[in-house]
Amino acid sequence: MNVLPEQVPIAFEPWELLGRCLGKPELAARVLQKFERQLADDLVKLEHAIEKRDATTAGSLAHRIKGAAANVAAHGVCEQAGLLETVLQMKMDDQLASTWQGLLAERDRFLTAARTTNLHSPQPVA
Amino acid sequence: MRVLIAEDDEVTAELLTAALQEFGYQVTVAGDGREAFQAIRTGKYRLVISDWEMPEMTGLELCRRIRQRRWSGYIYVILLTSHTGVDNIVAGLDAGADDFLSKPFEPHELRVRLSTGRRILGLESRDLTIFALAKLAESRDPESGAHLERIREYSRLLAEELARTDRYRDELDGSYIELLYLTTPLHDIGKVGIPDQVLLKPGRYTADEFAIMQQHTLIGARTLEAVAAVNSEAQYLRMARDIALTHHEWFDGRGYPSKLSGEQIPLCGRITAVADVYDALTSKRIYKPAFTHDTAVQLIREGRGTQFDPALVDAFLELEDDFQLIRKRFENVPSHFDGVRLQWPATAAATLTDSSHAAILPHEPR
Repeated sequence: MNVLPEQVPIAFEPWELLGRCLGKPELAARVLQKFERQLADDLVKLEHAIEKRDATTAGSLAHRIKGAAANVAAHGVCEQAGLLETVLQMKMDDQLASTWQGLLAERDRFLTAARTTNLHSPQPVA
Repeated sequence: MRVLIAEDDEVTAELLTAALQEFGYQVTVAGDGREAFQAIRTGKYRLVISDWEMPEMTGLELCRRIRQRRWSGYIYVILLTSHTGVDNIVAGLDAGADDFLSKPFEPHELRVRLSTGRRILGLESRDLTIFALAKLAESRDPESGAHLERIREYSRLLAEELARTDRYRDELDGSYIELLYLTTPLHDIGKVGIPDQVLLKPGRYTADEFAIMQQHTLIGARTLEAVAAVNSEAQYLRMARDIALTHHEWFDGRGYPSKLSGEQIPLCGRITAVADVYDALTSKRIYKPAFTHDTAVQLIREGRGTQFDPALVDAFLELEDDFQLIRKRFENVPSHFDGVRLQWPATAAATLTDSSHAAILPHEPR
């Protein structure tokens, strides 16, 4: 079984985030900042959990990243965190490293997209 | 209105908070299920939005803990989840969640789901108001204590037992039983129209006094009928009217006010009759001491087919231990709704002072 996605999702959909922030760019910017900080912390903890083969903690962290990413419309991170959660739950150890690397890559794609987005005049970033 | 968010993900918590504040709610965030449960115990929150996956205590466990306890009012819980599928919905509902909100959430969906919650909590306010009015009417009798709390529990037990039988399974569904629980306390509301010298008479009634006392069924029914006439959708008013009118009818046709018999008496009236008599027998009244549980059981058994519907006596005999447990549960427990009575002329203890604008004394036999 292969859990890799077939298409590359949009890294970040700023309109969607703005909608969830009721059209308030200041709130969207604050939430994005918080997400970046939380994502960085969670990825550190996730890496440690994977190293320690603590699938329960790792699964919970992947789940949290997935939920937070969904709410800020970071679709790439959301999808990759979901895949990692599945890999951990199903104990698909052969795909763990590549899925983890995929999550880091999506994190980078998201950060690039978020930093080049003007939330007062947003455009979707692939 | 206050909303408690139980969410370990700060990003989602911030988004939820901003949306809820925009919709006019006061928001508190708890970082995990345990913290949320402690916040709920303060009694400040009746609307809770909880994440499913949380450290310390999951959203499911939080729901279970909430439902395991008795609270002063219903607590409406919305589970926030990225878990999808029927199994997860069943697990959430089974744990006691009232609704779901999927991640990523949409603010307007959040708003309407909370509106639903408020509407349901509003229905509970209606129920509490009905009960408070019933207690107010009952408060004229200083010895009734937790009669209304007990009688609705007894009635529900009897209805649930009957609902397990083939004969009543269709008629007695959950909705009927909830309506019965809501309306049984109104059975004696017509007593507000009975003069004190009759209602509170310590000895036996004369024939004339008994005739006056019997009028409470008609007074209550007429009042409820009048309200039902302008609220034709309010099913509970019709059931309340039937109970007020018929809970003193006897199965053999020797009761009052209309000498109905058998199934001419609405089922809700027949159920309330057994619950009311058991409670009257086992309670001290101004005209009699409290009988023991065993004596009450014996008297109800003897009334099978005469005063009471045989099916209900059979159900009662099956449940008599539960009746006793309910009776004990409310023993020496002050009712939240216990009425207070003004004494006139005011005693020294009840004299109006600058700091007290009402001369209120607890129930006291006159």
